[in-house]
Amino acid sequence: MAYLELSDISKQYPGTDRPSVSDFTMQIEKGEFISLLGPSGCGKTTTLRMIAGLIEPTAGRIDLDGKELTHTPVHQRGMGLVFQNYALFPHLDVAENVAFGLTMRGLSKSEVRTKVAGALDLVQLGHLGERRIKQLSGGQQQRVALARALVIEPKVLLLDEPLSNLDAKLRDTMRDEIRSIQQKIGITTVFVTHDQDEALATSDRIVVMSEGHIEQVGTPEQVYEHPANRFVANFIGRANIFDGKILDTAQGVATVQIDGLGAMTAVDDHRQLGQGSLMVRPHRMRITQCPSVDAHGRVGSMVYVGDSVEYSVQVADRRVTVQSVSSGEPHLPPGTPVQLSWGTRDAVVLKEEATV
Amino acid sequence: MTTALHERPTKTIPPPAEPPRRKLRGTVLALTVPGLLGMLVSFVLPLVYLLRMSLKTGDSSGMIEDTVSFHSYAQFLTDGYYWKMAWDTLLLGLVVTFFAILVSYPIALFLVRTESRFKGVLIALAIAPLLTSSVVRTYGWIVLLGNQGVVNKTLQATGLTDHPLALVNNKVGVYISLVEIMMPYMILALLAGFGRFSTDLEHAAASLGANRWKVFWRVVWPLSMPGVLTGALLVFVLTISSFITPRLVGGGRVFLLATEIYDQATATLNWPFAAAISFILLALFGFVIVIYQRALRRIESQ
Amino acid sequence: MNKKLFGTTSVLALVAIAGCGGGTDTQDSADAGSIVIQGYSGVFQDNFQKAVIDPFTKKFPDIKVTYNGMGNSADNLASLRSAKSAPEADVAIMDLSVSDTANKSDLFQPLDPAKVPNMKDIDKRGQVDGNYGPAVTFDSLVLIYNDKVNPAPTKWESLWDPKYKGRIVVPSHPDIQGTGLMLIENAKAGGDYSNSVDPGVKRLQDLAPSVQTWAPQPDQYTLVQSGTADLAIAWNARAQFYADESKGKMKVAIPDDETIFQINTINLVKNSPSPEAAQTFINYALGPESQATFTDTMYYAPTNTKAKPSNAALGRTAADPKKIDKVLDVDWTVVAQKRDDWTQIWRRQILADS
Repeated sequence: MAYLELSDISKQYPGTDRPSVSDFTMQIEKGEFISLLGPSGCGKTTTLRMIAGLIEPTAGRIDLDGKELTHTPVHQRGMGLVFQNYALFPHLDVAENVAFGLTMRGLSKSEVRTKVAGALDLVQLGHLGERRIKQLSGGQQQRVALARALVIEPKVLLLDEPLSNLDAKLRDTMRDEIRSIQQKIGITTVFVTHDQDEALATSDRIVVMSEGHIEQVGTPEQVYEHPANRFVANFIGRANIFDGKILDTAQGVATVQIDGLGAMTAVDDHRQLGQGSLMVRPHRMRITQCPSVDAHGRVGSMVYVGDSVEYSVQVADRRVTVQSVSSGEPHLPPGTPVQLSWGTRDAVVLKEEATV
Repeated sequence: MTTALHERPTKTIPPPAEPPRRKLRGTVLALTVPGLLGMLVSFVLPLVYLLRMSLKTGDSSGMIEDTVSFHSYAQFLTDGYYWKMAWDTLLLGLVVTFFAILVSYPIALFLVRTESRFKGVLIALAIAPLLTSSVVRTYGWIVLLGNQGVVNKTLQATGLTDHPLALVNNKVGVYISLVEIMMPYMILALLAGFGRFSTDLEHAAASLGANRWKVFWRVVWPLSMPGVLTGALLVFVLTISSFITPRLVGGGRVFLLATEIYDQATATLNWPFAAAISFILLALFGFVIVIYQRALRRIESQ
Repeated sequence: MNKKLFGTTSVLALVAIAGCGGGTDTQDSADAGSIVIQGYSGVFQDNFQKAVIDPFTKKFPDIKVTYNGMGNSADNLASLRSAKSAPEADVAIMDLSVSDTANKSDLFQPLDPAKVPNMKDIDKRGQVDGNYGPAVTFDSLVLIYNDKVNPAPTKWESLWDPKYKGRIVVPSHPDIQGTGLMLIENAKAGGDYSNSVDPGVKRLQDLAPSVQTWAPQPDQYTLVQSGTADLAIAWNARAQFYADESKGKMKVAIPDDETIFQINTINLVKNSPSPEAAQTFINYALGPESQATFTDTMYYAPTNTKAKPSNAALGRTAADPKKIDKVLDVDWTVVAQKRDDWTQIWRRQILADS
């Protein structure tokens, strides 16, 4: 049995016609860093709050370390929570904020003092214990929130979009720091984010969600390199998706006939012939100038962004984005006839959804 | 090359027509003048007149002597009866404020938290009594608390008492009706205060192991302190200066500073004495406001 | 004047014209002009209009009378005080104990006996020294009771009957009704109020636990009519009026024992804008004709000894020949001077903790 198990949990708010989360099932191992990733409204925060106990699921059960806690009240769950707005107590100073959970547990004053000091050191705020909350910067508040959640030695650390209120630079620093602290103390962590980069950089596994259900669960590499479907492919990174016909599939490689490009090869986990589609990341495509008779299409526009050049190529009736590493060679001006190509391992066949 | 850069023709944007400071100040001054004039005519001058009146000497038949003396103040301060009256007034203010907080707080908390789509209507209902005069509401209480009123009838019907309790025409009635009359003010102040914190704070506290009771006392209550203090000051001041309700419900048995001012001015016709009590009441206000400011500063500095 | 105003655009001009107009508009003589009367509002005002003002304006069509209703005598005095430098009112009707203060505060001026010849016919109880405004109405303290009270009370003593505990209404001193009851009980116990009211106070202390309210709201007439209270002391004129209105729900008893008069005086305001017309009016109000109407319509005992009201109406007042001797002689000037002392006694010895 996994450390934290969510079995078929659902949540439907009264007066809504569609559940916010439906039949969410997931096993999380001890010490794992899991991200719940998806656009806003996908149900990731609801899921997190059900784990925390702030929202009661309408169905399903939650087990932690072999014990059911589906109906355990929040204050008895022993989970560390960090909120998007930090939710620090404005009437208490930094040390008192961190000490809050310890006081609730009835620890002695000296124990509290030692643990608070330790927690503040962990987040590098050892010198700011006396400060009032409103005297802190956003990053510092974030660290206090983290210290407050960690000091109670929670069974699970739950982070609800903790970085989205920080500016871009600080966000990267804090992201790395959260990951390194998590690694250091080995705490099981569930991290809710809508930012793919955060999820990719921090997680052991990512749960991609949309409209209340799981689209894919996998390591960052799996979800990026082998997106299970169109939604995942489009949500994580940029993707060119070609519809075509799968002519042949064998030993994990398929040959796909694509209008305007001809027969192309791709990695295939699904082994189904017939209608299908294939995804290639823009930076995994090659673009070469060629005589117009052999061309797949023509360059529609070109954007130079320093270390790379992005071409938009008109192929038949669609546009394909190609990202090419900038080199000393001259760029291809709009109108240039070009051929597109990729290695078999650069493309992947997507699981076809019923609706397409 | 570098010079060229520097000489790039900069489009001269005329410095924003900065209104000369003096002009701005003049405008501000001009805008405050009507208000200040209003204050002067409606507040400062009457107060000066009142101060002058308090230094005259009144006799029991309503005659007023043009003196400059502290006779009226001395009359008040040397009589234990008036000290007790001042104490009763203070006590009334404190007790009414306490109960107003007690009954208004849960209502205000509910109104802030409810996700009912009638929230707006409910809030309007809670403060709607302000739309009717307190005289009307006081008469309402006279009826409700009377011997044949709903309260006594219910008590007797349930067998809790066998004869009607004296709930009106005495201090009890004054306390009960004042608490109710002050509730909308308290609710308004509390609502404004509650607006300042999010439910995430409570969630955070709960996740850290606080049960509902501890969440309330350690987080919700301290954070609503500014609202509570504002409401308390408002209600306290309104209570100790109220005279309509004590007169209507008090049955002629409840003597407070405000009713005494009224009686001295209109029944005994001793205007200088009434004026002196007014200033003593004003001093009491000042005293309370100083205490309030101190408390507020301590809370804000946290 | 209004037409002039419409033509002007400048606000200043408007004020100036209004100012001038106000000054020249009033012409005052014994039979022409415009006067303002300040007195009680409510029932008194309605009846006074019918009994005095309407017949007066019929007789003196060139005198325009405006009645300005005031809550009580103290309000009236306050209003006169604040307008002392430029009074708007010409005539003021108020309680004798208050008008005494006003006389001494130089708010009123003496009447000219030549212009108010009816003054000499006023009952001695209603005469005021120095030709200041005399009594225009005599009212008396009575008992009112709810129709469920049986047997009907005939003496003040009924107030002390234990079966009415918590059902009694007594407006407390400085309301003259409370003062009056104290004076009556004081006299009955053989006391002299100019020396001591202790015997009266003692009686009221005994009464205190029975009293439902010392400050009836809205008033004792309503409380007795609605059955909230059983017995109350009240003023005869209003009591008779409300008794008729209540169709038997509330009744009046003019006790057999002592009672007191409440006296309203009619006064000429000092620096009145129209003293001539005002005195014509005062003389008319004091005349036998309007005094009789007073009694017939409002149940005030006539102050003019020559007034001839109907016997039926007279029988419903304390001026009834059978009862007039029981009316205590009270010097309201002395009462006015004792008012504050008595207030303190009431507060501390009667009302406290009652």
